[in-house]
Amino acid sequence: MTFTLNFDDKGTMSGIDGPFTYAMQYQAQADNITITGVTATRVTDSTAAEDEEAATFNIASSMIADYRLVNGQLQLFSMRGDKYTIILSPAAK
Amino acid sequence: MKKLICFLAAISLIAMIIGLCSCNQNTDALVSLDGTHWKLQTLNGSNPVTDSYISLYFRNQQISGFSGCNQYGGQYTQEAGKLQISGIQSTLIGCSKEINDQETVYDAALAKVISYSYNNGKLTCADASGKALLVFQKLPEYAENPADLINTKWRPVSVGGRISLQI
Repeated sequence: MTFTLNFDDKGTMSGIDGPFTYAMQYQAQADNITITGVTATRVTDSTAAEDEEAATFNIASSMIADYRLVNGQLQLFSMRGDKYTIILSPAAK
Repeated sequence: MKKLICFLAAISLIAMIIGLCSCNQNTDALVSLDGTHWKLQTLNGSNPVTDSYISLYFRNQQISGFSGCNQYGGQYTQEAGKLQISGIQSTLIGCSKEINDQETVYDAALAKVISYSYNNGKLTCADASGKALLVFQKLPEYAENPADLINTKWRPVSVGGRISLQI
């Protein structure tokens, strides 16, 4: 399994991160983005490292404030500073 | 003589207009705080605790941010150099005493703000006596269109500065 994150036109984000599935709502205005209602569901057994990454993702995504599309990447910036930035590349559709 | 007086008066008027314009460029370039993002630079004149990060976001009459350990929010009103922040609420996570103490001071400072000024990317928030309580550095803004996000699908390159496990 690979990590994916999808944005739909109804303000929903969903994704898969290894043994976890995610669902959340997003609201974007200019370069501001608010992500709320993050839920992660474990669908298969996970390793400690995967649990840690999921926890980091949960913390980071709950405080996302801005985004930037640059050089084909999506950068999600956190209110907590650069240490919590999520950087994503396009996934195959 | 009359011509000379008129000439000098005209020169003075032009100089005054140029002076006013340059002053406005320095202090009034930021008309609205709505949609702006800031990182704390000084708190009561001192630098924040080493490695701590405090942010402030203004959006739709509401503030939000991270105060070093907790996420916080509240309401704000802004009008012609006046700024008032009210109804501050915060999550209740505990951190080190140093960070907790800094948060207490920061929250108290936010509640005391009644005015602001903006100059060269810095937002200075002051209390009723005019004392600068908080100085923030403006964070960059990007010209993005949310429509560009719709129906996109992504995989992580890194999360929190760490290379993703799933690449």
